[in-house]
Amino acid sequence: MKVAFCTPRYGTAVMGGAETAARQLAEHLVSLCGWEVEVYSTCALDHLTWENVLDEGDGTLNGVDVHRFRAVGGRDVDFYGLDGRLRVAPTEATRREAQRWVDLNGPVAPDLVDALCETDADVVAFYPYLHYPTVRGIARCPRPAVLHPAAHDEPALYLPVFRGTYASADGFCFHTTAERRLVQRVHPTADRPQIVLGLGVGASAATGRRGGEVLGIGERPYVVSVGRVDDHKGSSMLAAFFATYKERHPGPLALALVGPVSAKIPPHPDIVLTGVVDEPDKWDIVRDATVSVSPSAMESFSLVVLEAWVERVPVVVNALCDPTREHCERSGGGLWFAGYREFEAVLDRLLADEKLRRLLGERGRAYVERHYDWPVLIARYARFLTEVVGRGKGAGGVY
Amino acid sequence: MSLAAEEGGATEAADRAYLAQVMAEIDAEVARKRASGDLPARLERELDELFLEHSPLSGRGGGLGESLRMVDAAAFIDPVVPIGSNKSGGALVKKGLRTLNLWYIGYVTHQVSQFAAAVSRSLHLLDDRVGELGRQLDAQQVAPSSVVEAAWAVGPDAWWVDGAVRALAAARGRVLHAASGDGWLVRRLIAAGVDAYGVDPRPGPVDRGELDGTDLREEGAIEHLRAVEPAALAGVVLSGVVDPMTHGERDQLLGVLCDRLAPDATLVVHSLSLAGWASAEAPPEADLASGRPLRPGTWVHLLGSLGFEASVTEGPSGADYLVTAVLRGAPPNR
Amino acid sequence: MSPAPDAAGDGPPPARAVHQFVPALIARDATGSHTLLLRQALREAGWRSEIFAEATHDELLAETVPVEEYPARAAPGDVLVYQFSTSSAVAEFLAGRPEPLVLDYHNVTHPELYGDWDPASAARSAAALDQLALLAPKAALGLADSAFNEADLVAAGCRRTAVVPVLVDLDRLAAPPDPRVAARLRAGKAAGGADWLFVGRLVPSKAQHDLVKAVWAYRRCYDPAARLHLVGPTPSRRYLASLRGFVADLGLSEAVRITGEVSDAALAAYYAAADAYVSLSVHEGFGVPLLEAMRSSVPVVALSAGAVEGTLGGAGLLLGRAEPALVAAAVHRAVCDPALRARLVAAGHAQVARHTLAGSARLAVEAVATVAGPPPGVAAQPQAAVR
Repeated sequence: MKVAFCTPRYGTAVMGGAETAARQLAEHLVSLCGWEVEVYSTCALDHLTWENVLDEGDGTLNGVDVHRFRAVGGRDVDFYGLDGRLRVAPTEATRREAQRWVDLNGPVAPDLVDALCETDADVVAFYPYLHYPTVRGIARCPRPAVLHPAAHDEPALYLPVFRGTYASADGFCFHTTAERRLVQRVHPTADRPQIVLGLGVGASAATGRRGGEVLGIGERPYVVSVGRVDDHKGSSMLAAFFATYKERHPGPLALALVGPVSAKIPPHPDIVLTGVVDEPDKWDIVRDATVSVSPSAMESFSLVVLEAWVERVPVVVNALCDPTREHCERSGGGLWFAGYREFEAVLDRLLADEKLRRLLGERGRAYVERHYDWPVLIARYARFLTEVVGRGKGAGGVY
Repeated sequence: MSLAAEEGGATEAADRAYLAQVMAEIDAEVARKRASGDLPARLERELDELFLEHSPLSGRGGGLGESLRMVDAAAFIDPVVPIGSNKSGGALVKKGLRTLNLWYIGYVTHQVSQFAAAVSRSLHLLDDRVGELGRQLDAQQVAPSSVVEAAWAVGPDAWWVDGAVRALAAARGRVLHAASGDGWLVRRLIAAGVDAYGVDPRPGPVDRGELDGTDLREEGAIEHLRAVEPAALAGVVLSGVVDPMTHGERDQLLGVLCDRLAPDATLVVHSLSLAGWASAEAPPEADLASGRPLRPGTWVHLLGSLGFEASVTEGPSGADYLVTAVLRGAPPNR
Repeated sequence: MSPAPDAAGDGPPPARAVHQFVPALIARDATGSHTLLLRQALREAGWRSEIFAEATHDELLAETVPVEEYPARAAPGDVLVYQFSTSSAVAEFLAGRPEPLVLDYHNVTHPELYGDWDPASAARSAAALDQLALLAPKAALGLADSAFNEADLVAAGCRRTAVVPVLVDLDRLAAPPDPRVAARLRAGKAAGGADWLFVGRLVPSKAQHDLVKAVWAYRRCYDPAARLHLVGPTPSRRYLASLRGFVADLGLSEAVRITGEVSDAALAAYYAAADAYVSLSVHEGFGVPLLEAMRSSVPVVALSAGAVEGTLGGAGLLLGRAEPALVAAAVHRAVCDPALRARLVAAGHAQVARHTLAGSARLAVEAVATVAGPPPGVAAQPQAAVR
């Protein structure tokens, strides 16, 4: 089988959830299934300017053939005006305006689309939905197409131009059931073949060092939160909740915030900010944590939660975040809080009840193995792609 | 409106005949133009398409949504500052300044528009909730029914499965099973060469079933069908879903179902009979449900009025039956 | 459809006043002109008659009285006439009044015709239809300006109806045309090419976009220098923007002129310069500009929709479809075939002659008299046939 991926950016230096996920799928299809995989992408690394940084042309990365094309259009001054207007009333946009939005959002790479239409791959996977290569490519490409929307509840989803994009897909691949429900609400595609895949989790890279040692807090028990330390990610909220908790429950418990720091967290004797750490360190820290907390309300999938479960660490999440809450509900491996009182109650119970912690951790681990272990996940994905190819190219979109 | 043009009746008739003659000549002229390539029909279609590009196309329904769009439209702030100027060269200077400032202005209005977008999004959520309430009211203010299955009535060995598979074998397109459980019927259909998938609101069975790649989704039948394109399905099997429905819910389901089925699509309904529903072997949910099953004749009548050709096969124990129907014409009251 | 009229003479004593109610009195608007002309006719017949309006155009402030003042001025025997064309609080007000009501119906554009362009107007239009259903059964008489509109009234539950043409003073077009506009149009003509004209609000139901498509086809097949003049107010910004974009895309920015609202004198100039009046409107309750075009000796080519056929009365080329090729061929024929042109113009004059202001005013007064009784100070007149 030969699969082509079409994604606006590709590479190890790319910082972006959807593009990273695409790369991991591509590489695992090669390494675990032995399939032929090629990628059509641009020379850009920055999704705001689409500046051509990498070399144009063909190359190979971890067993995947990569074809890079120059982006002709970048974010234009006109973009903000149009974006602002469409953002507020996306359903009022004319088709012309919506197409222009896609062009201005970029990356405009007509050569990429032309080349993609010539591919001899059995199926093309487009990732995500809202960029020019996907919109133009999925409309023209004669191969069966699978769309990975990576959609959020954002105004762009409601732009009329994407109706055709979604209607052109022969199959859908979603991160979470929440994403699928969202897309179905906006675009009538429920009867098409689809799969809720999520992302794969790799094996733990823990080295066996004690987490407390890595953190420099000795023997003290600690709660960990992995991810960018940012207001949007709920880190400030977590720090404040934790500080209050410590006032009401003095003790040795510490909080470790592991990740690049963007917000100002007031210094606290029991809070450790590690900044960026490498993978082995991160896994070591996670492994010995009593609980892993995900305070963010804006996760689209959350590998962090899954990684905690790989190490059988129980998880506590923000109740308002559908994807992480869904993980907890389906796995039975985590609890959630919607305010300080619940946070306190949950933390109290977990700290006191070792049996509960072990149970949650085991359940979480089983869940990850069942759904998100790379071999399992890739097998599901490969089977899905094979079925889509078997059905053939559908009627396609309206426009 | 002309006031009684009684006079000159003969002149009027002559005028009418003359004009009819002229219109016929014009029609012939049009046909000539189209055939000669001067103005092919294709070009006229392209004109239509071109105007459509300039027209608003909304993805949402009407109702409250319409007045919400007024709110949407009012909440935007345009960052493009007018650059007309009375002084020559003034416009040029203004344009330069505008370009420099635009990033900043764009950022600011982006933030304000974000806020407005948040407000309008809240209103859209409200619209959704109100819509959902409306739908529930339609279904007589009762919470949506859950799946009620008698264990002996479903499963690969049930008496009706062969008949259902046969009825759907010729389906050209996708076939939906609701409620699919762990996918037992979906797999059976796939084995018979049918492109089948399933929905079921119970999370446990779906989780178990989808691990081997069967396309199963955790959602209710009506909710799912609403998100399907019109005329997209070649067949639907309903089991455990309609028995507990209230009249309003059933109407909703049949209404949306008719719209989503392709012409000549096949509908198969497995239902417990009233005797089976009331028997000791019926599950406890049967007692707790707001609705109850229909009689076989009622299904035939109901489906007939919607444009189906329906027939019924009674189960061997009299506790259930199978309805098989094909959607023939456009039903009268669609 | 409507029951036979009452026997003459029986009933309540004749009214002394017949007042009109209107949501908004707007200048240079068909309903507005009709209201003013009707007041004149009612007063000449001998009734006291005022116009009570919720809102009034600045130029017409002296002509109206606020609706709130009516209860204080109400006198026994008053008959009220409601000029119905849109939704308004006035309808609710009148629904609660005891006086006999005459519903003068000017047609409501159905909500679907606004589509996605103007959801606010669509909502108002839906509300208007609700109000029609509220008032029609209560009305002592429903007046419509065409059989087309009359059907709406009957469907809404009005028990007695009559067709009375819109009161329009076509002589306003006899005023001298605006010299600047006339000069510009002459200069355009000197360069060659036919002038198409359409007068009406720039809204999707009047289908100016179809006119643009048709004139594109016309220029391609027959007359590369032809021009299209779209005269009328532009209440829908979205439609205006889309139309401009469409015109620009087709390269017709020089050939298609969107004038906005113009004065009577300028309007006269446009009619004088027009080689054909073309209407592809999908909804017309009456179509006063059709009469104006016929009076100005301009041949008419129109899509048969709504009341268009009735208003033309056989004096124009009626089309069944708005296809650009068909419209272009029809206009070409009307402009270039002298015999056809002459017959259309003559038929147009005859149609206009059947539709004099005096004649329409008399019909209106007669219809009102079936509810209000004979006008005061005038001997009892024979009742006009009320259908």
